[in-house]
Amino acid sequence: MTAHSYFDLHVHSTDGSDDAGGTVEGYCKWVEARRKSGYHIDGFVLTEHRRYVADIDYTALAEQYGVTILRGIEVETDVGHVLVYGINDDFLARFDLSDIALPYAEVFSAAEESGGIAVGAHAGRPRIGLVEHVGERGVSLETVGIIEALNGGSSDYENGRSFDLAEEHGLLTVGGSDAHFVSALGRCLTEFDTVVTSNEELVTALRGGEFRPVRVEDTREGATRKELPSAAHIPATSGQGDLGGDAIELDESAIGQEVHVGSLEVTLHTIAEYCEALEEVNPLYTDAEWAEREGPYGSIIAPPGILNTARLRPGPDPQIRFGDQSFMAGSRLETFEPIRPGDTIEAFTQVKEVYEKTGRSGRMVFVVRRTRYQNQDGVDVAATEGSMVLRKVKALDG
Amino acid sequence: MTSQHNPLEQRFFDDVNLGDEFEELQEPTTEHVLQFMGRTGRRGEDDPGADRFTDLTTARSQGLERPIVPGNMSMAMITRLVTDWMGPLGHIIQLDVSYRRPVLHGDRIRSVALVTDAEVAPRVHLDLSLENERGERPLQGTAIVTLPTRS
Repeated sequence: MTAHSYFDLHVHSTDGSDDAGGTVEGYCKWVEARRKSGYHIDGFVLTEHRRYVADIDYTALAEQYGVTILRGIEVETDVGHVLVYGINDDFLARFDLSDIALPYAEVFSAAEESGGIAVGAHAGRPRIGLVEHVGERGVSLETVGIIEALNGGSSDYENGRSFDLAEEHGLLTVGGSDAHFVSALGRCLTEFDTVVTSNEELVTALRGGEFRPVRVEDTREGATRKELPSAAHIPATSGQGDLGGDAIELDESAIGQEVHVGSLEVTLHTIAEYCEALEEVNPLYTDAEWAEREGPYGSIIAPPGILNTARLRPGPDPQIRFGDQSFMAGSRLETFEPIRPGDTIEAFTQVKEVYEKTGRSGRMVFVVRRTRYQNQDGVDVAATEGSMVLRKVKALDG
Repeated sequence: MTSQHNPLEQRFFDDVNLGDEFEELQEPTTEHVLQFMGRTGRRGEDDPGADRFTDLTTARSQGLERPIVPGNMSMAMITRLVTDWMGPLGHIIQLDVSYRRPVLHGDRIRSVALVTDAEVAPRVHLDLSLENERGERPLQGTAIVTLPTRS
């Protein structure tokens, strides 16, 4: 009987990916829990965005949970994202990993020459997967041998396009969850017909070709495998912009400079108004008598979301000249102390970071602002981080 | 946008297990969005980009199929799922969300939270997501909350 092993080949963590919420220990605990439910997951590969994180030692975690933790990277190329396994100094010396438009053919060749192997990530996604580039630009697949066709973050249609490409061009296929959050790990996996315990063995197994993409449900003993997706579904979002271009112009002196951007007077009335707008009925925020008698703070407090109602000035402007549209990309709220009626909250904002990456809509620039909220006693009560994405868009007809 | 959890009902750390999942179904309409924006001061002459949240023509000129739900409102939807589940003595330590696709007016949204760690009292870690009827997850995130213990 063949000794199969099951690996999630595409995982992002808070140790190296700006948009991930899953910790490596959280992933290990999740694997442990999935095993208790009868699923088979041997390990996972950390493939952080544009960063090879080699300086964190996961040995203790791996031993504690009995999970094999391997490392690769997800880089961005002129034909979309590419997963590289078996990374070494030779490969790292050849590229600036922060570049969002690396030459794809060189990435695939360099991985092979340096003892590793490259895989076209989420091949069916618009802009950042191979399918569109092969179909629209006639990109050559000469250096490409494997694509990720079963991707946990892609729609069935997108995955179906990947399988179609693989069949048409004789490519091998793998599965990966593309997990950014703990509970996503293992949704899609790769089944190897051999035992894998190290980065070197992973490369050997991928070069050997004895593997296939599976869903986590398929790893249960006696499971009947579901059909893999076809492209005969409704298409998801269409591509919008380009993947590369000139360097972004910005005023770097604005980064890290904290300024006062406004204040918020919190009263029983403003708390009541906010609760009404959100149909909030938690008595901690709405019932003075209950809050005094039963609540942990001795009085009504404000829901933390009330900070969103503050009319704040935008703060330092890094003057980025890119794109014609901005969207919220992420929000973080950290609470430290309760906000009470009668508080005057002062807000201080700084631009924490500016960076770029590519996604379904093409090239994007992210601006991360951190705002600190301080009460009249000089105590920080909360902090928020907001990430805005700037991009170029095409209008839809009609 | 009604809640399926009674926020007066207190949840205790002792009763929470890894893998527990809870959800609410929501369908944010144009009326809901207008109400949210009006109440939270999002609408007005100081916010020219706000039209894409309410106006079809503006939304389509920006490559969107329909007007979209503001990110703050999506965050409020997922926050409310958590606060309703926790009960009044629960406390959100940190809530972190990533907006991966737009939520469109009229989307049928399933707000889902899943317990990913409940080993060390009183902290509970949650994965959060909004899922639409097309099988997409427009919002994903995490929360760390504290719950009271029974002892």
